[in-house]
Amino acid sequence: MTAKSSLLKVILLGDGGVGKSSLMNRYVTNKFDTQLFHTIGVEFLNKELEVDNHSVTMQIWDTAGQERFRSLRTPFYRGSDCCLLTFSVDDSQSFQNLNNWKKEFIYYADVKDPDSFPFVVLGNKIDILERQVSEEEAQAWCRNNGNHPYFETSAKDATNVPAAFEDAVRRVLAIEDRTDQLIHTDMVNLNRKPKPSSSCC
Amino acid sequence: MASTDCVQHRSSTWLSYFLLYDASKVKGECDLTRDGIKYFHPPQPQERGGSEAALSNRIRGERLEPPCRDTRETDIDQQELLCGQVAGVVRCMTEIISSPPTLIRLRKLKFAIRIHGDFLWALGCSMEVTDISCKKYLDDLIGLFRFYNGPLWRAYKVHPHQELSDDWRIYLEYLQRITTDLSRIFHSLNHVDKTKVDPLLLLKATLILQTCQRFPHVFAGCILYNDRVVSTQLPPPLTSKILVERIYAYRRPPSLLNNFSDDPVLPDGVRLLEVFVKEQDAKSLCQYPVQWTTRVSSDVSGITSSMSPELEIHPSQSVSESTLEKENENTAIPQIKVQGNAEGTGAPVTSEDLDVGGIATDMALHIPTSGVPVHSSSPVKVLNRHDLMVDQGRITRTSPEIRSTDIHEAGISLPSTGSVVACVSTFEMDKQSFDSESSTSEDSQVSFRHQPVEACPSISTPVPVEEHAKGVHHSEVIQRTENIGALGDHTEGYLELRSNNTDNSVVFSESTDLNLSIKSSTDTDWTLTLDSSPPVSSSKLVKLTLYVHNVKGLVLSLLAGMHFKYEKGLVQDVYDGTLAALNGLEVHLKETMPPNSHNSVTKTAYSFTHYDFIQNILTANLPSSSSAHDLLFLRAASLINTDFNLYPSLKEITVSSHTGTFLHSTLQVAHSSRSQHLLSATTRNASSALYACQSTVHQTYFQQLAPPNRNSGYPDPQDSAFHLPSKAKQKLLKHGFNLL
Repeated sequence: MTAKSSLLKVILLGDGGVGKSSLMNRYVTNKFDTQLFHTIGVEFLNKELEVDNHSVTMQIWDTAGQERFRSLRTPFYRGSDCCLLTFSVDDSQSFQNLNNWKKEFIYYADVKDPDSFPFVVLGNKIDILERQVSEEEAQAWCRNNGNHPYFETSAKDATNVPAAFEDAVRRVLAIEDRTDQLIHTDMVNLNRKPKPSSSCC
Repeated sequence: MASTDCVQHRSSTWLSYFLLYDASKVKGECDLTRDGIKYFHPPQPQERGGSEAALSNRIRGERLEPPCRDTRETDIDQQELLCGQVAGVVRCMTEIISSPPTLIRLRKLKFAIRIHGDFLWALGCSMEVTDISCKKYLDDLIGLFRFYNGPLWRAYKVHPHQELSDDWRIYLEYLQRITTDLSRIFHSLNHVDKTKVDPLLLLKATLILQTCQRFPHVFAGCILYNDRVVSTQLPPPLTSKILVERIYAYRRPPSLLNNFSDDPVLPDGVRLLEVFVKEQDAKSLCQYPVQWTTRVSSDVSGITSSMSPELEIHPSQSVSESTLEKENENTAIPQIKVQGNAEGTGAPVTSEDLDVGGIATDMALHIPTSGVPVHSSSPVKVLNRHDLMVDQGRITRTSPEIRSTDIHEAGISLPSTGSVVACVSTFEMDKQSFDSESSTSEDSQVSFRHQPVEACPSISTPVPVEEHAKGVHHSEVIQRTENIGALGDHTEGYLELRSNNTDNSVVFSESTDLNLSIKSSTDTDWTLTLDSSPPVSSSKLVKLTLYVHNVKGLVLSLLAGMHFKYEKGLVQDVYDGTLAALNGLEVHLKETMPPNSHNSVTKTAYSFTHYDFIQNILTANLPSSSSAHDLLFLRAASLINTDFNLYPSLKEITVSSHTGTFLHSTLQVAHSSRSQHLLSATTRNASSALYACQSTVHQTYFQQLAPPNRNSGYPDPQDSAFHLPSKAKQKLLKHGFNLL
């Protein structure tokens, strides 16, 4: 891999009100707005960053969590390189729905190999003291559902937000490296064959 | 007047000439007329290679052959001739009747005229363009110039003339580009097709605008996608000016664009412009930003509701300040008539009568007194409705519900012919003179109108009250808002004083725009009236900042105070706060409405046009390239539209034709029996028929293209024309329009 800038599509999924938009805004603009409207459909922001000498443009897609916006958001799942499953630590329901979000994503994004697709789990709003979901619970769920990395974040306090997104990028790059190698070996074979034939003519 | 009656033009283009003339440059005998020509369209040959018809003037008996017949260029000599003639006519008229004409109608061309100090604008349109539209377009052009360039006198002091000429050209091109046959009739803004867009996306657009209003100095804005309105919090006149912004920005070198914003670090895709908004507009934007927001809960209701703030604002204003200044933003209730008590049939009017649906309208107050006609220079405050007292008069409000039926009850006889001469009633005369279609015998007539300002030197009174009295039996004060519809942002409030008593000095005032304007989109223009002296007019314009953020064709435009750009980080904050949502909205809209999918109009067995006054939305199934049949439809719709506007009590019209041309006489027949609310006039032997109906919220036109025609030659209920209304109602239901 050279240092060329590549575009990575990262999508935030999770129940309405868990703080997906706030996480995105905190990460990209470093601002926090307590009065955000519900997201309708999808929104996205680009963020350029450098991870392990890779300059990357991360396109963060923020989605509407409410069920009624499902038809607007699902067409945009396709082409995602990484999915950030988000819940709020003060809302156990949002935690329990992670399974559904994962299923919905796999279905609509048409993920070929769900087991190797990079999911990252974010437990947001850790600034709130009355937690309904403990860190252990969340860790356990991640272990049991494909060994996803887990980050506890607070968009309000700017806790751990960049770390979570950067980790997502790292995982995507890691997978791309692997597939790049796979593709390379294939490509070599395919390309070599036609070359002699074309030069013959 | 008679000397310029042979200006030829190509019928393919409705806009023939536009000129701006500065009379102050041409005072003496030796002054060249060309020195006074500030701008002339079509330009001189060397300025631009053109394509089309040239000018052929016969002036003072000598026929001038255009040097190059097939180019849209005008030789400087001919420019001089036309300017000189127009200016001469205007001057002559002004001297004779002490008020300049607003429209000069020639045989094949009509010129809308605007005067501002020494400046004179004239817009030459072909005869197909109605008088109302012609004048409206001129006001639109002037309005655009004022919006982006500020007051004329200032603009010509500050900016190089060539630059301003380029601007005029941009506005002219824009005007010609956006006006389709239908939009010329209805003056609607181009909206996105709301039947195709998920309402949630419209809501999203509205929420983006509301988010912006939370930032300091931001008043209101609008969101456009590919030059079509997605959501707007602004009244249509302002929205329409922002529509032109993209072209404007595109044409101008960037250095000139941001000559006032020295901030080099504007976010990507963002530009700041200084714009000039009428004081009243600005005031209403400033004072009730939140209210605008809450009213504009979705785009659907946006246009109407955005008008309303005026209402709240006005009563609080001081008399001296705003007086009758009223922006008639409501499309539905633009006109208020105050009639002299000679009619005697009306009930006393209370202030509540004027306050319908919480929407401000233009109002006029006429107080009949006995005495010499007096042009009161003291503003009369009508803004506070509770103060309104009209003794011995009655106010007939042509509200949506009762529009102008009262007038009929008042016993004003209405003429059945289109000729002005035939008009008996002044009320009618007033209107008829503007019915270009009908006044065939009056083609060369110059309509003289009195501009209120003339009569009323108090410039701070945009809508002066003329107290007129002596022996006026039925004097009507008709105050109208000149509606500039889709483009203009001028609101000219007038007070119109009419009398049919010939002994009196009849004061004509400008009234033409009554109709289209009423329904069309709502504009108002008081500035022009105010413009009699440059300093005053300039003070009436408020400089604002226009924030424009373009995301791949999705344009967020915000009007903000001048401090907006100076407050550190504010622009960035607005940008950060909206970028994600705009990105999202853009991909959603791109998905639902591919940019090139407009012209997929499936042709059906019928043509229809539905114009919604409230939402300012025009729906039609006419393809953009008009066939002969469509042209016929448009012609008929245009005629009926004129009539509908003249006679708001008309609910339905069916016109028929057997010669391929809709006969206007049919409509005239219709008028004669206009005491009926429901009216259906059908000529016999008809081969095609068009049905039209109107209410306060819509006008709808329907024509069956391949009608199974049955005509018995006498009024037979089995005839197909009689089935047209029910057919129309049935077919239009499929498009979501309930006419039942």
